Amino acid sequence: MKYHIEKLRNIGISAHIDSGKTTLTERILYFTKKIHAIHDVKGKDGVGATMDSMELEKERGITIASAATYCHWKDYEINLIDTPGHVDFTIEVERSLRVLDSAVLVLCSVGGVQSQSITVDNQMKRYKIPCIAFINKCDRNGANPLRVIQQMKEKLNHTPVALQIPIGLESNFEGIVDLIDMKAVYFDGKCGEIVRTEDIPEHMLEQAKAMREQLIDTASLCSDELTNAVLEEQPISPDMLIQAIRNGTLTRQLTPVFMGSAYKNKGVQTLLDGINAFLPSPSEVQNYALDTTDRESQVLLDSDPEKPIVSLAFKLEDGQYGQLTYIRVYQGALIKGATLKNTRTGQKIKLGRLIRMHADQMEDITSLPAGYIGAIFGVDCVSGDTFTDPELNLSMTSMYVPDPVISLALTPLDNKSQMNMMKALNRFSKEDPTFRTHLDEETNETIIEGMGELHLEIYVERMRREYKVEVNADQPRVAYRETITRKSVFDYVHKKQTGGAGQYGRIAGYMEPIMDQEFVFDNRVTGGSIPTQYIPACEKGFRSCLAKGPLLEYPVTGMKIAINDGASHSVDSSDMAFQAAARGAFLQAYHKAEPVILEPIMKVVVETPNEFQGGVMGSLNQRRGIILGAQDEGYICVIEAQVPLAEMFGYSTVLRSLTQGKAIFTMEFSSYKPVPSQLAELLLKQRKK
Amino acid sequence: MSKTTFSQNDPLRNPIDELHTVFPTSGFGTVLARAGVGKTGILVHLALDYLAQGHHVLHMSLSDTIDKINLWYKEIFHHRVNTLSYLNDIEKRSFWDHLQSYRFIMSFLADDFRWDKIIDSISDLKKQAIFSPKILIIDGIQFDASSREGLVNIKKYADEHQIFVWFSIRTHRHEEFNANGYPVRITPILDMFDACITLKPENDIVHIDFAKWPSATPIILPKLCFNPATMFISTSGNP
Repeated sequence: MKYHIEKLRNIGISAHIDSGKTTLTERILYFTKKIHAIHDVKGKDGVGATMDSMELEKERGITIASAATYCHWKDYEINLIDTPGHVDFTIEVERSLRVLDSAVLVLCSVGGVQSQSITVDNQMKRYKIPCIAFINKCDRNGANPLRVIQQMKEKLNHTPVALQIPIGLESNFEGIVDLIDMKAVYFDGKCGEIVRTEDIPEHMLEQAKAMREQLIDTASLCSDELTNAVLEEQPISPDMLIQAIRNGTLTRQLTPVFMGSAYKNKGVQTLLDGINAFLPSPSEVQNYALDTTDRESQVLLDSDPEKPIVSLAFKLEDGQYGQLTYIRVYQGALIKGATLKNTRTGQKIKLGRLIRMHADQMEDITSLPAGYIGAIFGVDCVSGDTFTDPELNLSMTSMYVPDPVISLALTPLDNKSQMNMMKALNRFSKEDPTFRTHLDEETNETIIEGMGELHLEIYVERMRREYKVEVNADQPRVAYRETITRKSVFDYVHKKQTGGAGQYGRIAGYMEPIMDQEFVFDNRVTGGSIPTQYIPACEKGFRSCLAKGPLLEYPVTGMKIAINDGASHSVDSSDMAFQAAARGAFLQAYHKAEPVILEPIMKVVVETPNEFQGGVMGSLNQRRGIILGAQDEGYICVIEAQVPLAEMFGYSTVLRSLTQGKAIFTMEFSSYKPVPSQLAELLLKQRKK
Repeated sequence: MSKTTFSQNDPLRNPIDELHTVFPTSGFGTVLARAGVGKTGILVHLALDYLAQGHHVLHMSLSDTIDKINLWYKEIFHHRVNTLSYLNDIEKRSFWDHLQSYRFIMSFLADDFRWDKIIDSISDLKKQAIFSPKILIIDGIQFDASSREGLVNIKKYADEHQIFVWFSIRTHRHEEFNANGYPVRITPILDMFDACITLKPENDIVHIDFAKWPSATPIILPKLCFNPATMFISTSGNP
């Protein structure tokens, strides 16, 4: 394997649902000769897009699990991760962005900057990922790439610079004008594989000149050389312009904008040129690890392959040959047969099989240098583990994992299904940190938890197909919480004398609501009224009450407990006595603290043609939604609302029938809020039954 | 709870109360200033007072997205509510949730904005019982003499439905002004407005001038200023 880190690009492709990112990836693989035929996303030809390798993905036309591949374009090597578009699978996007150096943000030239474009852009900002934009679907009715560029300014706060303008639009879309070289570019041949450059059509010359001026103006902010050339009225060479745009892109000051139609095979090759020219190589990106022996201080990593190895396992898959672990090398090189240390467990492993992935096919390799992404076999680990040289004590920063908001009870129909279900759940929860599972001891049901209806639906379906599990799935349940709303004091004595050594412990203090934290324990005991050795037992006792709240047995959250006084007995006090005292104190104060039930509130964004605006708003209103507003964007309208998750089950069907299938919606967790009192009473009644 | 205090603490409250003794239900008010001086900030201060008193406020913007407008409200609300030290964080959040349920944002970002869209949109909301505003805020319209017809229609609608409307009017540094300090461009429509606040920047502070302010009884209007950095409105001399 050749190794030229400056000619390596690790990129992700992120976008709103149905913006065509899988189609774009398919075309990239075709033009880089990684595949030799183009297949449609929805698998009309019975094959499906190469990157959508899971059966379900091909059927539904959405990407569920991100797949990794690599390809070559003009001497450059591109590691490519196709990421899911649905909000429920955001963790896949987050994990991809953690290990990638840059991204292509795909925007639809009709839909523009849509709700999830904003979500993925926020994710890119969080990881400081430089990006270029590709405005896709210029051949569609209503295509308006210049409007999309304006929306990038307004909605994403980017400074977009158009490097191209379209030649014709909608059904007349023929090609693009390259504003750097000032040439018209057409894509001929059966699949657009022949790139033909011509002079700019006469009627577009003025517009192209004006747009190039704008481009130079904006790019000059990122390069002194270009600024001087402009001031001295020297000719601007394409190289000078490219360097200035590159400077701006790497520092996220600029977003270069490309355009085309992946479906019609137009503009993909120029986008690939842009990936090579403007996006960073791994050596241009600063990555830090945490030194676990020095209070997690940051250590800058060096992409030198001769340095000790630091790598991150970012995705797990259970395949036919055992667990497949996707890994990104940040420093040094992974060598087949080498010994590595898992920083989390301290366990040493010997690296057996090392491969590079191409969707569901793989290629064996002997080494993987810094900057590269590959996969290893047969290593027991979880997503997010760091593998280093045994002498190092470094850990890559932990990844943000949101808590699940919805759960579903599963009952297998027979013993065989029970066994297979356990296997499947074990695999899924290792692969996906947002998917969790536990056994409800009271009902003996298996509970699965996740980020949304679709998220759980897909896993149940995968269990059926991949593990032949026959299972009854209950109605989805909302993950309610309990919290308190006011301060309340406690002073509780636990005293028991039943022969032999007794139990004695007194705890006094208060509980009060807190924001944005699950639980805080504050020890304010002075003068040893509770001996120091019993303080941990007090905390343990309080914590044991949080799992099942006294109100409705939902987890308690947002609570601070402070203890400030107490008493002990030289013989009868023990850890157990203080744990029991803490539980008693908790119950004593809890009901006085006016507890309430909290429910997950989702931010719902519906994009609908204007004529259905009223109906859609009505449907959100009926679901206890608070409509934040409506945005008129010409022929479509974007409605933003906050709606309780409990009311959103089955909404996709309702929206489809309400809008003749013309509207789409996205939903993501926003916050927990108290349920209205009537509903709280209903929940109480249901629980009593 | 704190609703009354929230409004009472606002120095704009008394002049606004006075204005509504003359125009109890419908009328036109405007905030007039150059770009970037704080028109939206003042409108959001006004809106928050109305919301705290339980009035339904419809905020229409021709320039900003819903998220951006919401951010204005959030920022100014937090600046103001944080001065109420007797409220804990949970009470502040529940107060914010309460205010949000009285507010509706509409944003018109398409290039083809028409005046009749305003009335159509409100009618739709009312017809479907989704939202019935008592206060309408319209931010970002470009005014000139030709705006009169649109304004007349809105005035008629606002009178019929008892809605008080606040507009923002953007002035430009280099345009021609009349003897009263209003842009000549809008003098043909100035009579349409019942109340007018002008904002005049000076160093880091913006002076709030009640340029046209009817009142039932003779009152002395306060000298106020707006600090764009802190978003606070205070009496002059106490920024």
